Amino acid sequence: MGSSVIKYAIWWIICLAVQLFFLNKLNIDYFINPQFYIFFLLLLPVFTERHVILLLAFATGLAIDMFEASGGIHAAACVIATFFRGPILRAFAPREGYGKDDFLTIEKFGLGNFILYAGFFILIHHWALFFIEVFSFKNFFFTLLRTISSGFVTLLLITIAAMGFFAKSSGSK
Amino acid sequence: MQNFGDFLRKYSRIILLLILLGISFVLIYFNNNYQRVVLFGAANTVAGSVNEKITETEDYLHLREQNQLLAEENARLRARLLADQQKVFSGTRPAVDTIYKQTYRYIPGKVINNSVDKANNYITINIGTKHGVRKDMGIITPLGAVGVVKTVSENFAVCLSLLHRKMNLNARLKGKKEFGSLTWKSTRPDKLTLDFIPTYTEVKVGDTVETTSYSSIFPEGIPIGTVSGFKVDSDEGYLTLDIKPMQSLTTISYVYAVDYIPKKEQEALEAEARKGDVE
Repeated sequence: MGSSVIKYAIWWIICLAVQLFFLNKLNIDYFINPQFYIFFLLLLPVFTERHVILLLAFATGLAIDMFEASGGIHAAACVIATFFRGPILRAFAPREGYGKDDFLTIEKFGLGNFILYAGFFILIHHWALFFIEVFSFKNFFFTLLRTISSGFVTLLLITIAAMGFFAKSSGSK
Repeated sequence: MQNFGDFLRKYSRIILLLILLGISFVLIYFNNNYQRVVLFGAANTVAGSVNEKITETEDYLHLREQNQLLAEENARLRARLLADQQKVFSGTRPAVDTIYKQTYRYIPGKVINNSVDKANNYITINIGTKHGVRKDMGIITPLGAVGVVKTVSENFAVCLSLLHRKMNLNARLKGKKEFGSLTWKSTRPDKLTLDFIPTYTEVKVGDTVETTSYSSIFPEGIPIGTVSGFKVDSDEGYLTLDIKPMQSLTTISYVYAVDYIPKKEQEALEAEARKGDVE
């Protein structure tokens, strides 16, 4: 148990660092605002206690908010998305169940189901994030477009990272 | 009591969600520029010191460009110096330039945090009250205007970028009297909007837009951008111009805060005049 906590802590720091010190520095475009760090929340094991995972989501979002000085918009978006993680996971559950591995893997889902799971999670997160950021429905379609375009890039990055990550870890076993 | 316990157990997850969301929204509500100054400013916070380290590292990557810019600025200043000397020697209006020099002071600083892809963008710089920076000072680079100081701490200042929805500057076309209001309405960092230019004004793509003398934020004639397109707003009878910032806002590194020296005197005088009103 002790060693997996360290594993999660390292994983958490990597996800945040990629977001804060690489993606945020790129400043690509208003409509391409990938939020890679939620990869951490996506891959937490299914058996994570349902209250603990909400608190983890809050802490993760808050860490991003601290660096971006954005109040609590990431914390709110993470908590909202994570609240729906259980139902999304159940919807795309493999027939033999998820098992008790430390991380969720693409192999467990199959690529198609992983993309659907990650896609829904990212969509909820980005939708919440961008609407809370502008705090109005005034330019509804603008913000919707921003959600979809940024979400697509996030999904692409996360899928590539997931494939790379697990190809490596299963190869080293 | 038994029922209440059941209720709590059954809905504990939703209750936790609501509590966490509540905290988030309280944080959002109280998130203001002061918080930014504290977070980015105080080097003793983790976020502040990490941000500063990262900026230091990034600086090395841009040394060449920065050198180039500074060299160009040096060349421009040197040219002005020679021109001024000639003026003095030829005996024409030597006093003008002396007065002008005393009106504005430029405080050099460096950008330590900047964004262009948010709905409201800020620039954090590493100079503060200790260096003489005050609220509402203009921020310029060797190329042009980029922002206005919003909040200051001892060592840092947070500025509204030109890419902020609340940014509103008076600006005019170079060499013309008509001025308009410059805002950021698009979602692209290279497109500002200049409204309320009268339709009879002659405009062509590539014209320079600069600051006016109607505020004490910027000196008159600091370039802001060039016209990249325009259309007539037929209802209002005004021209709406698309402006491309002179200084690309994605690559700001070294800046000057503009200190309008007589400002204090002006404000003190105005305050004294208002004192009479109250009595």
